[in-house]
Amino acid sequence: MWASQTGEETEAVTLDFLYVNANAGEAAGGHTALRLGESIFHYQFFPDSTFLFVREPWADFRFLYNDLHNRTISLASLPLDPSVYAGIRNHFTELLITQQQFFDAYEDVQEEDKLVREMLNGRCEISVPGLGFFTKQEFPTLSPVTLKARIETELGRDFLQQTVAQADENLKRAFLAVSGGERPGRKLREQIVWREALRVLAEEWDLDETSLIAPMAGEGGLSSSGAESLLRFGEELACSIVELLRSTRPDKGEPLLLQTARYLVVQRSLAAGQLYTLDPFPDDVRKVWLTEAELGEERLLILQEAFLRQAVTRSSLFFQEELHPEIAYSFLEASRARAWELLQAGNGKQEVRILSKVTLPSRRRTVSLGKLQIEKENLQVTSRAMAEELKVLQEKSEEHYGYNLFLRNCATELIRSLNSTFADAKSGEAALGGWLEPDNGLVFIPFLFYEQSCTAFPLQDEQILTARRLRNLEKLYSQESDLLVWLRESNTLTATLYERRSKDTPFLFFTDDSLLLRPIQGILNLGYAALHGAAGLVTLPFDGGDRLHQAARGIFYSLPELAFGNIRKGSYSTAESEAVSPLGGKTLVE
Amino acid sequence: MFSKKYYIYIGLLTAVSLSQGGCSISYSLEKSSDSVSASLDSITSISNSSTSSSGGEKSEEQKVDETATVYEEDIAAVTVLYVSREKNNDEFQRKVASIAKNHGISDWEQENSTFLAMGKGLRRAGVAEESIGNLPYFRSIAGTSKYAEVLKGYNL
Repeated sequence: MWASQTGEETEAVTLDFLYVNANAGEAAGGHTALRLGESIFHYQFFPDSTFLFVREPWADFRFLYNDLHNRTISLASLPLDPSVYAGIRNHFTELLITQQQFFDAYEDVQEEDKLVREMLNGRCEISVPGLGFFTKQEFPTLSPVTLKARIETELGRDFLQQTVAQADENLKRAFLAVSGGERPGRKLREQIVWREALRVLAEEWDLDETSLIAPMAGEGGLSSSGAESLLRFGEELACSIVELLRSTRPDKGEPLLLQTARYLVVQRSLAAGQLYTLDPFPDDVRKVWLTEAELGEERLLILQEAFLRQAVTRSSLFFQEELHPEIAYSFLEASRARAWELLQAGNGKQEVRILSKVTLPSRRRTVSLGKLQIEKENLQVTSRAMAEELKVLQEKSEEHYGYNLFLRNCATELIRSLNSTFADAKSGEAALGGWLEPDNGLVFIPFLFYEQSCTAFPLQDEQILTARRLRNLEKLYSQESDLLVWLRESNTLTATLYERRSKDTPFLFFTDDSLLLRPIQGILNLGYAALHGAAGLVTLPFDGGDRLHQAARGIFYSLPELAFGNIRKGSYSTAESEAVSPLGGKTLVE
Repeated sequence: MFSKKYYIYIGLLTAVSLSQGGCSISYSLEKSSDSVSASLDSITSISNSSTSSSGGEKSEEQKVDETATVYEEDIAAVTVLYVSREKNNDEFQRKVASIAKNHGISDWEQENSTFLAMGKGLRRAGVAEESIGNLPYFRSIAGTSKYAEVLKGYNL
């Protein structure tokens, strides 16, 4: 039992070592992670070539690796003193924050550099987060008038006018300072965002209709208790707006724009008796295009239902939430947007925006400050200094957050992170009951990391979370004839527990559950992939070499099978409870 | 110590890792478009355990609580780092804002747990209670209800 579950320090707490076995695709050499309570800590490779420390909920990690990626997870626990447990967790959190601070600072300098280069060209355009939610016109409803009236009541009749004038003045001074050779930093951008936020309030801008997620069929109207909750939340937003106008925080313009947009959208919902929220998809959002075939798939309908169900659940939870209404509202915004986006795909739209995590809405609009009279010589000096700084930051990024298969991978960095919790090896060994160094032999290989951890530390209670296909195969063996099940499920042509996916490469036999036959099945898999390769040569002019590439990968993943090894296990694209059976309809496997 | 077969297997695994880019890949920051064939899969990958499970409500409820807990941990951690490194008032507030954003919080000053967590962080950083007011940010909120929350968190 974990501390996070019980809330009592006297309960046993553990640090769990995890090994996720190999499969085709990413983490083909296996993966490692540490679990503390309900949080998983591990290292991941990102598409921008950074290799970062990540924390995520255990339920999501298990779902991804064990259910979708179809990998077996081995897990062994190290009982810890609660103070050691807390020390490790706090240290890991500090590592995450340090990492985030580095990349935030890096991004700041990049934006600053861009701004200076634009200024050198005599222009200044700033992308203002949150301004894209508004359009300049008279408010058509009463509520924004109420908002302005409230600001005037609480802060004085001329507050907005005076503050806008002050913001303009501050901005002029800031430009003069930059012209004189001062670095713009974040301050200049923040001042522009602040001035724009004040203009939105002072000039009573309205919401842009295109920035809203409209009510969806299946959501129903607002209940009286739901409307009451929303009214209360609107009141909290109004308080927040007034407090932000008083606040001394340097970046208050951005939250002011968001809270104002949220306030208006809440009023819109109350007036309509149906839920509206802001569109939270960022401007640089990742998009996918569904094919005609995918638009007709039952899987799409299942996903649409699941996303809509989640949106409805989250709205009812938001209406009940008393402790953290803003967090619950952000969850609601994200889930409504995902559901709405996927429903548009059902209406024939092929492009789908992907929101991979809960994020604050920040629709941007570019503000041009017109032609600037700037001392170019001073700016050039600033620009050169920033180029130097960016170079240093890039080098640091590669040094501290780069990937190296042998020296900086998911196993070595996990050990380093754990070890750095302690002042030295001696105190670490005393606290953990053992010690492991990141350069200890072949510990960089994930399964050897796990094996060596089991030896180095007094680990207990090893659990094996069997991969999804094998787990369900066991159930079939207990229900039907072993021979029949084996004949049917051992190959990808007749298996009912698996649907073929191009991501898994072309293969005939599953070899993860058949050690003795593995080399023979491997030869057949290799031959099957080679046949695909031959067909790929024929289709080369039409598919751009896709089939040939998949065949080559198929051959590659068949090679370990010849030496009794196994990597490829097949994977899934739907959740277990929502798998579509080959005969149609939902299969509830569990 | 290891058999020949063992080394062959390790060699193959290493080769596979080399060719596939090694460790687990996250697509959460990916901005480019997926290939067409992977599009529905991409949508599945953003669904999570609570979207798929039948006990969605409980799991969703836990998510809000877990987010709030992790937010507090992060705020405590950034406070520890603030004490041990630079003590710039504006920078500290920007860093708190960046963390809050990650957890779906826009106005962190209105979230009471922010100040409780700062108090916990100050205690963890070894700041004496009577010295809290000497730190620039905490001096700026001295005498307010926020400061009272910081002290409450400190003494929890």
